[in-house]
Amino acid sequence: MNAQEYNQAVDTYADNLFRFVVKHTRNKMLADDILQETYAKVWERKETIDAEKVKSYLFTTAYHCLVDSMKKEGRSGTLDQIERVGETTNPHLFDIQRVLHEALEKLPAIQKTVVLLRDYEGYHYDEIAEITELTAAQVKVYIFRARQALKSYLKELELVA
Amino acid sequence: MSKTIDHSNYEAYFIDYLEGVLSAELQAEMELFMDENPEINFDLDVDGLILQAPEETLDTVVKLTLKKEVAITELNTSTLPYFAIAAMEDQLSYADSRELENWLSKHEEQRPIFNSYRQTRLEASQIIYANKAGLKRNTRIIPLWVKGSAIAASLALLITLGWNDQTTTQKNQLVANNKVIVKKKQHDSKVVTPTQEVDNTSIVAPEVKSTLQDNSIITSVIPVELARDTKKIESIELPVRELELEHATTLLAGNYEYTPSILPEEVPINEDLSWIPLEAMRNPIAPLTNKLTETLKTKVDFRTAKGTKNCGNGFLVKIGKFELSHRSACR
Repeated sequence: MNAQEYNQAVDTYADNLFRFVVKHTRNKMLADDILQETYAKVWERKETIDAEKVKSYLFTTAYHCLVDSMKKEGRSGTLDQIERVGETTNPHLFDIQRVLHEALEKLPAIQKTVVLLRDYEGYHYDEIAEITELTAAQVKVYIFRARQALKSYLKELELVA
Repeated sequence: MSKTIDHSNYEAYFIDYLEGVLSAELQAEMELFMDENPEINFDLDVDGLILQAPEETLDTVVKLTLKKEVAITELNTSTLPYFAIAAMEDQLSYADSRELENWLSKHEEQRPIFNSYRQTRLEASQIIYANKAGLKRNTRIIPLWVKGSAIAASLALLITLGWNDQTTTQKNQLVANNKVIVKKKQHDSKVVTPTQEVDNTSIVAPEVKSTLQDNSIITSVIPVELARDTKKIESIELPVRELELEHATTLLAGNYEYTPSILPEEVPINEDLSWIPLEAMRNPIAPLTNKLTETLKTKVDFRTAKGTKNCGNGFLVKIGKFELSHRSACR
């Protein structure tokens, strides 16, 4: 991957990557740091990275940075001090989507990760498995359980049957 | 007959039911309520008082996901959540999808449950990362020889600047030293006399350090007419003009030993260098000029060595710097 392809990766994937990270951290500054670190690592290893697979590499690196960051800062501690930034509130978002995003915050971190990768980025199970270093079967279990939990949350609010 | 036990109070009656303190009528009503509400889990947890939430559907889903393959033949009301999720996750084959649709058409009451799972898909919110420019890298390819040249040029520039800086410092030091030397000479001589003719109207005296200001130089400018008047020059108050030196502070920065300056009034006049009127001059070679005057019968000017009357043969006398010559004009 050359510099031009690297910059193209910034243009194409920086928004998605930032959204993926900030959805986990709910902290814009922390997400920004992780994004900087992610792209710095990609740049360092640009000679060995295939430009066609840079998206997967970016998300894998960002996920690892994210996990490291959450381990350092302590997941439970940061959640109470989070700031609702970096996310533009869409006034046209349906109530169900708003509730779903609330429910997403209540999911275990790994379920949240796989659902975000699945719904936001459209990754297949094997791709998610590669990013998260899980097996495809594990990814499937996490996604199914997350769907079930999300549906139960909607049902509690009588938004669905 | 109105029921006593309902959803709002069954927990209290259930505890009494477990303890066996309910009346026969309430006990029968409690059993009827339990039969009518199978979704309620009446098992007690360890603490014994908190009812557990129903989790049958979650368990079913988890179990099925652990299987390698789930045949569509297992589809029923309890396994519907699994197949609903599998359908929205594109995990079903085309044939299985058709089979599921057929089943739903036969069980329309289950369709809302099936559709509710489809609503769990998250829609991506619009988030834009503003600092993309900070992540980008320079795409211009610079050949290695250009980089090498740039480094060499930078080194050369640094060396040159450093060399010039040293040279400048040395020059400044030299200039400063010269100034100090000049000052010392001036103080050694302790003389203020006009030595340099600037123009026709003024004579500039050498620089003399002021007694009042340490880092300024006083230059006396004496008009020619006054300077040539010996009588006036002794009483004249020399106009003093302060000249700012560009590096006045540099001059004081050296090991210059300060000595009290001399006021212009106290400075004796150097007669050897003074430009005074002819009448006021003393003849330092009076015996010689007198002898010449006597021999030539012409008054000889000791300054020009010329006779007021030229007659007879000329001559040339050279004594040190003095050069006396005479050419006779009387033919």
